[in-house]
Amino acid sequence: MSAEPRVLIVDDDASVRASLGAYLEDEGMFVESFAHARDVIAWLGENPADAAIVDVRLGEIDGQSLIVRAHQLCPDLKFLIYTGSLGYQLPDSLRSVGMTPQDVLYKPLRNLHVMAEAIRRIAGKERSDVQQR
Amino acid sequence: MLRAKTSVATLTIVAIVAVATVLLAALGFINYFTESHEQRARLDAETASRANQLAVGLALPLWNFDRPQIDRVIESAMEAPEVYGVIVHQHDVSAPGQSAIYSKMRDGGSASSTTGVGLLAQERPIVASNETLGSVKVFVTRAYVEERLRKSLLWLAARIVAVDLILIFCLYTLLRQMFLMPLRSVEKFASSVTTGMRDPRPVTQQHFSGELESLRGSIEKMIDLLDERYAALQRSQAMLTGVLNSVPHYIFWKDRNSVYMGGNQVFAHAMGLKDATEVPGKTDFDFWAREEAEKYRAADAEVIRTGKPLKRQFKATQPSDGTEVWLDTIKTPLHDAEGNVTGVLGVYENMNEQRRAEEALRLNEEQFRMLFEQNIVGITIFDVMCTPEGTPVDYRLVRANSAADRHSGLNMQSGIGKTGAELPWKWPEQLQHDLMRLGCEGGHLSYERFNDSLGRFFEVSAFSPMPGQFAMIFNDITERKHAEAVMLESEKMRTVAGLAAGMAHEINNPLAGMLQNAQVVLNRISPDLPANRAAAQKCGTNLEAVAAYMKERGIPEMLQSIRHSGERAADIVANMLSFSRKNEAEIRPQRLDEVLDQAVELAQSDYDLKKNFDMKKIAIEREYEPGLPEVPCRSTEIQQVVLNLLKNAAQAMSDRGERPEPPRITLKLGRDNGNARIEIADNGPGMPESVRQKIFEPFFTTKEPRSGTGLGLFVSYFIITRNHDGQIDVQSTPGKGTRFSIRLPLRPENKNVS
Repeated sequence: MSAEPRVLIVDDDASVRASLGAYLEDEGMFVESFAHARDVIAWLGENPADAAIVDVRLGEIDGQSLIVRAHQLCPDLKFLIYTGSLGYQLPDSLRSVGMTPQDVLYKPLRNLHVMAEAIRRIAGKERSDVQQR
Repeated sequence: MLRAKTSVATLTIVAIVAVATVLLAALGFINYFTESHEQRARLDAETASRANQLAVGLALPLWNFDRPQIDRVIESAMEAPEVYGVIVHQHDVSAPGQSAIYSKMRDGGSASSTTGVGLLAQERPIVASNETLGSVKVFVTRAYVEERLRKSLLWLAARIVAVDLILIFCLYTLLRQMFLMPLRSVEKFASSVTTGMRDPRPVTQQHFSGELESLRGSIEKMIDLLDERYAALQRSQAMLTGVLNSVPHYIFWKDRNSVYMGGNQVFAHAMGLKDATEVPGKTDFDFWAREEAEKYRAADAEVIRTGKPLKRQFKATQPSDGTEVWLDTIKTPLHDAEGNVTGVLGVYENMNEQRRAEEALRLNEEQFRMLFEQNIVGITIFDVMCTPEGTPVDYRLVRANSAADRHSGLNMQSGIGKTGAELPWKWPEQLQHDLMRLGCEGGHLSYERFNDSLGRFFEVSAFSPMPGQFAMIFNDITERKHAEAVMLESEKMRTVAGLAAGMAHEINNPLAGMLQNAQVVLNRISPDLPANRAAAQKCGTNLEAVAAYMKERGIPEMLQSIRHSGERAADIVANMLSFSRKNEAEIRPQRLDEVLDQAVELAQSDYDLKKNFDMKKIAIEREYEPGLPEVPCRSTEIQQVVLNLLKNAAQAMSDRGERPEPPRITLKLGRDNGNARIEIADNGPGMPESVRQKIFEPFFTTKEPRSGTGLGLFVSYFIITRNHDGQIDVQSTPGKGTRFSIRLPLRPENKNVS
C-alpha cells in the first residue's frame, strides 16, 4: 500500500485517543488526534484527511454534529463512529452523509484490528474509486 | 208605602172622624127632636094662649058687634108670624045656627084650606056675661117652627163637617208629627239596613216622644244588633266560603237524591264549570261518563243508607280537561237537627302529586338500596350503645350489604342485630375504641388493613352517617396493591436500567483505554513489528533480549490477563444492556410452543449448564393449550428468556440437597386476557419474600460467587417488559417451588421496539 490513509481521531478520552493513535500509527497510518470538535473543523480547513474516527459524546459540539459539519467541509472524508453507548443507533442525519450501521463500532473493541480494517474498508473504497477513475 | 195601601193613619183618622160624626149627629138629632117637641109644645101653648087672649079680647067687640074692633083684634093677632089665620064665629041669637064669620087668612087662604098639613088650630068660645057669643079659631102654622128646625139641622151638619175637618186636620198633623214621620224615619233606617246601604247615623237627630222614643231606641238597638249579627254572619259566611275555596280539596254536597247542592270553586273548576254557583242542581251525569256517575251515585246511596263515611281511592278522568287523576275521596253523611241524613258531603283530593312523590320516593329508596346492596364495596353500619354519660360501651351490626359478605368471607347477614361480643370477628382494641368514638362524636377514619385469614388487603373508610352510628366502607384492594407493587417494581427497574445504560458508557470508555493500551503494548513487544526492532536497536538492545526479559518477568501473561479482565468487564456491561442492543431481527408472529421446545433443547445441550447438573435428570412437563395463536415476538429473545428461567430453575434445584421428590419443571402455555401466558414452575426450594422482591435486580444472585453474572433475570425482565410490552412476575413459596409467569400481548402494539 503506497499511500496509507490519513486518519483523524476525535475523542475526549485521552487514553482511548492515545492508544488508538499508537495502534494505527503502528499499522502505518497517518494519525491526527483531537479532543475537541472545533479543533477538527479548524484543522480540516487547511489539511486533507481520508477518514475520521469520532466519539459521539464530546464536549460542546457532539460527534454527530461534527460529522455533518465536516462532511460539508470535506465531502470525500469518510467517518467511523466509536462509542461507549451500547444502545447507540445511527441517526438519519448520518445515514444521509453515506454512513451505514457497519460504520458504528462499540467501545471497548476486543481487538483494534477491527478498527484498522474498517478504516481501510472505507478509505480503500474511496481510493479504489479514485483508481478506477 | 203609606200611599200604596190604606194607611194606618188614614184608617185611624177615618175611624175617629166617623165616630165623631156619628156622635155629633146623634147628639144633634136628639137635640133636634127635643127642640122640635118643645117648639111644637110651645106653639101649642102659645096658640092656646093666643086663642084665649083672642077669646077674651073679642068678647067685648063681639058683644058690641064692633066689627072694626074685631078686625083690629084679629089684625093684631095676625101680627105674630106664626099665626096663619083667625076665624071668628059669632053665634046669632036670633038665628040659631047661623053665625057670622069674621076670618082672616094669610096669603088669601080660605078657612077650608086650613085643613092642610102643618096647620094647628085652637078654638075657644067667646064668652061674655056667661053667654057664649061665639068662638074663635086660631090657625097657627108650623112652617115657621119647622123652618127654624131645618135651619138648626143645617147648622148641626155644618158644625159636624167643621168639627170633622178640624179633627182631620188636627189628627193628621198630630199623627204626622208624632207617628208618621218618626215611623218613616225608622222605616227608612230599617230599609237602609235591609238594602245594606245603611246610613251610619241613627234614625234621626229629632227627639221622639214617649213610646216612639223608646220604640226608636229599641229599633235602633235591634237594628244595631241585627246589623252586628248580619255582619258577623257575613264574616262567617265569607270565612266559610273562603275556607271552602282556599283548601286544595275538592268539596261538594248533595241531597238525598244525589243532586248537587253546592261545591267549592276548586270542585267547580274540576267539573269544567266556571263558578261554584253553577254547581247546585247538577247531577253526576252532567259531569261524568254514565258508568262513573252511577258508581258515584251508588256510593252516595250507601253513605245515606248506612249513615257512615266512605273512603275510597280510585282513578278518574277529570271532566275539565280529561286528564287521568288519582283521587283520594271521603263521603260523609250530612245530618239535620233531628239527626236524619239529608245528603252527602264529599271531599276529595288529587293524589297525583302524592303518587308521584311516593313513586319518586320509592325510586329514590330503591336507588339508594341498590346503591347499598349492589355496591362493589362492602358497607356495614353499626349502632353504638352508650352509657347515660355518653361513653360508648358496645356496638351492634345493623346493616351489611352483599359485598361485605363477599369481601370479608363472613356471613354478615346472620350477624345483623348482634353485639360486638357476639360477632364472629374481633377488631384490635384501639380500632374498636376509635370506631365507637367515631359513632358518638362523628368524624372520619381511613386505614388499610391486611386480613391474615383471607390473605387480602382492605381499604377501610369509616364515618358516622348519623349520631350513634358508624359505617364502614371497605374495598378489597389486593389487586390494586399488587398492581402498585408491579408498578413500583417496573419503576425501580426502569431506574436501574437507566442507571446501567449511563454507567455502561462511562465504564466502556476507560475499558476501551485499558484494552487498547494493552493491545498496543503487546503489539510493541512483538517481533513482527519492524518499528519495534528499530526502537530496540536505538536503545542499545535487541528485541529478543527485551522479549526474554519480559517473558522472564511474566509480563506478556500479565498483559493478557489485563486484556481478559477488561474483556470480561466489557462482557458484563454488554450483557447487562443486551436487551437494548440493536437487534436486526423483526418482531413477527411465532409459535410459542416451538420457541419453548427449542429453549428446552438449548438448555439440555448447554455445556455450562451440564457442568453443574444434568438437565436430563430434571423432568420437563409440558402443558400447552392447543390452538394458541401465533404470538408476535422476537423468537431469539424469548428463547433467551426461557433459557434463563430454565437455567435458574435447574440451578435452584441443584442447590437443594435433600430432595423429597424428583426435580421437575412444568412449562405451561395458555391464554390470559388477550395475552399469551408462559409459566415456568419448578418444585425447587423456592425463596423467601425478601429474595423474591429483588429477583430481577441486576447483579442480585443467590448463586455461588462466580457461578453467574446475576444479569439473566434482569435482562429477561427488560426483554419481556420493554421489548415485548409484556409482563413477567414471580411467585414463590419457600419449600414448595417457584413459578415465573410471562404474559405477551397477542396483538402487536404499534410501538417500534428496538
